[in-house]
Amino acid sequence: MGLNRRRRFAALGILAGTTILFVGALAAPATAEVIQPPCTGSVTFSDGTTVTEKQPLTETVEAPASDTVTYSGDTTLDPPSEPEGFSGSVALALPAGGSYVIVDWPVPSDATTEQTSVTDGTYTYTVPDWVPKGTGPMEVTATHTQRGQTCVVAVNFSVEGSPGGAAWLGAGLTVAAGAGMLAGGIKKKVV
Amino acid sequence: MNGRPVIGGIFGLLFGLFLGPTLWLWGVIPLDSPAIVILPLVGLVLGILFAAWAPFGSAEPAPATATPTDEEE
Repeated sequence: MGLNRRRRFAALGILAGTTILFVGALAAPATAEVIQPPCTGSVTFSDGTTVTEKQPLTETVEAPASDTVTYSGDTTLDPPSEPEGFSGSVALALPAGGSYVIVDWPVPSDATTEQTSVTDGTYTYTVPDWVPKGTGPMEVTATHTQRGQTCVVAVNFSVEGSPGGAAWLGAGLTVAAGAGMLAGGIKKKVV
Repeated sequence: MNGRPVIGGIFGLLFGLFLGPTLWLWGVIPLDSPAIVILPLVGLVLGILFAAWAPFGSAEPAPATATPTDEEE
């Protein structure tokens, strides 16, 4: 095997190895529990899967693309004697510490609200078609602040299904860009 | 620098930019993984280093261009 050929094989091996090592090191699942008590809550999907505030972040919940869920939540505070303000949100964690607020509920103290610390009911949702299915975990964090008490719960979930065309498009673009990067390693002609 | 650092850098950056979201789409990493931010930078550096190394092709001389000779003048 000639020197040039060995160099090419070594180059490809180092490139592949570096990529795998970086991805392997960075793909470790989240292990931190991001739960701030004392609130409790649960969501039950129509297939019987129940997610509570104790759901560890190391596990990923696979949610149907559309479903009617039964939910309940308890701030564990005494029921207020008069209407009081509260706020909260559900947000999706994005790369580089970013987040996307899916829904929030800032309710001012002068609003006419039900004076209870417990809520439950059913909720029907449909995940938009453009949201990729069968992906890696997406961390969703719910926060609720009331009477000086803040509760935080985070759950890792993905939408049931297969990634489909977007994943193949991404793979194709990655391979094409990788080929372009390899082309940068072709020697220039000496004049 | 024996290779093509501009090409290597640009395509290395693109390689990293596409690789992160693709790994998420295929379920390998979570959406909030630092890999999605770091991989483009790694790709940029790798692309430039790869161009500096230039392990492909041979440094053959380019075809000589015709130059006027004394006889032609």
